[in-house]
Amino acid sequence: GVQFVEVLVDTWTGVVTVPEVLAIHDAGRVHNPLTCRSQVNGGVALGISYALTETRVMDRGSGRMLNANLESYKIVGARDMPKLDVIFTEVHTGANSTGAIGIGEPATIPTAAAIACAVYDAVGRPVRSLPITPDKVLRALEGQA
Amino acid sequence: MEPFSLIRPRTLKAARDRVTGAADKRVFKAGAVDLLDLLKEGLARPDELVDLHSLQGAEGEAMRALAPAEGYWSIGALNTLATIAASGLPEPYAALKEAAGSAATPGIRNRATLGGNLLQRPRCWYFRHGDLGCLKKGGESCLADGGENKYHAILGGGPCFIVHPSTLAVALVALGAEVEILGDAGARTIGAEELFALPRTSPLTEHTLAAGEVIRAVRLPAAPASQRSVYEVAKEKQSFDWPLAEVAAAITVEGGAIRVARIGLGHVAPVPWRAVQLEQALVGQAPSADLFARVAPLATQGARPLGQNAYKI
Repeated sequence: GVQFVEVLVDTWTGVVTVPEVLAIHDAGRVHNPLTCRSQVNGGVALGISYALTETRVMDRGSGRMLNANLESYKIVGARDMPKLDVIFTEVHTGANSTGAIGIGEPATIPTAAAIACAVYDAVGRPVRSLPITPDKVLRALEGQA
Repeated sequence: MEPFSLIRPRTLKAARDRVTGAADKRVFKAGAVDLLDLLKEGLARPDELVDLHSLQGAEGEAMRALAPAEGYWSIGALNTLATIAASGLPEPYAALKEAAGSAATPGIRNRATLGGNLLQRPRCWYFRHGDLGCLKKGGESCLADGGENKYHAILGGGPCFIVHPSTLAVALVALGAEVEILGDAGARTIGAEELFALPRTSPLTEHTLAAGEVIRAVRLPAAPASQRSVYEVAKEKQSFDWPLAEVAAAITVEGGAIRVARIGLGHVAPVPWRAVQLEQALVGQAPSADLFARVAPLATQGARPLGQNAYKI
């Protein structure tokens, strides 16, 4: 599969949002278009989270996880979702009796990478660690590592 | 969560008599949004929740009203954020409506009250962690100082470095609001900024209410029709996230020059922060993009970042 993303970077705040994503996947013969498409929806959503907001925060002093809840461990919500187009290219390889190929993991593999590339394209400097949070974007805009 | 009783008094006297002197064993309850979080984490262990929604008569009405009075608008402390956001507050007070409409989620806004929003406790992950004894909970030191402090204060911090979580407080400070408080000596009115206390004064609490006092209402002072106010916020995540930083500004322009400027900064300090030097630099000037670009750094003058939050500047 391959995914294309468009990102919007606010250069004053460093906030990155994702207005549009195009996901093209070859999952062989699609038996249930609704669930197959739904898998890609979820993969892209969590791929965006992976890229922009998810991180486990550990306190070095106590060894405790500080964000072990959905308040501070940030997963995208409805207002973070892009306009998402999903296309399945059904290539029937004849390699098995049903013609099906998996879609589980591929749905989420390219997303974060595409977002990181898009941020680099927008900002002109790469942010080389995930999540690409506003503080990192601001440092990149200021020309720091 | 410990078991508790819900008491539903009809009069304010009954409510206050119940809570005063009971220390933390009996607490007031309004929307119970922050209260529920505190109960679940074991940060509050009351035996009784004393409901304010059941107050009747004139007392109850005063806490639920949202209407103009003589020389000001009165917003009762029990008004929800949703009600405030959808209210008929006129244009000069737009910042408060925008702030109320942007906080949290629609579900929370339908339940959370003005009073509760102002008096909510900080979101600092050290404070909220049941196992960690930070300064604010009576421990020895602020764990965020030298620890994970990406979301903590750059202004006014020390010895505790929380940021005050109230979005409405930022708008109220910019609008020059006053807070009506009911206590032992009857009603008293203070400026919104005086409701909050810096950690260097009292690290264990965030507000200046005495035990058993209740916020009755907030007053927005009469503003010239030409006053305009606005609220802006930056969040990492656009659905249900706390602000990284937020600002509310109220400006009146007359004769081509800024006559009055009030600017409140949120989520950068342990109290809603007035950007006083920035305000002073704006008054008397003709508004322009150049002016704003030139004086904007005054907003964070004197900021002292911790290890991880210099980006807020």
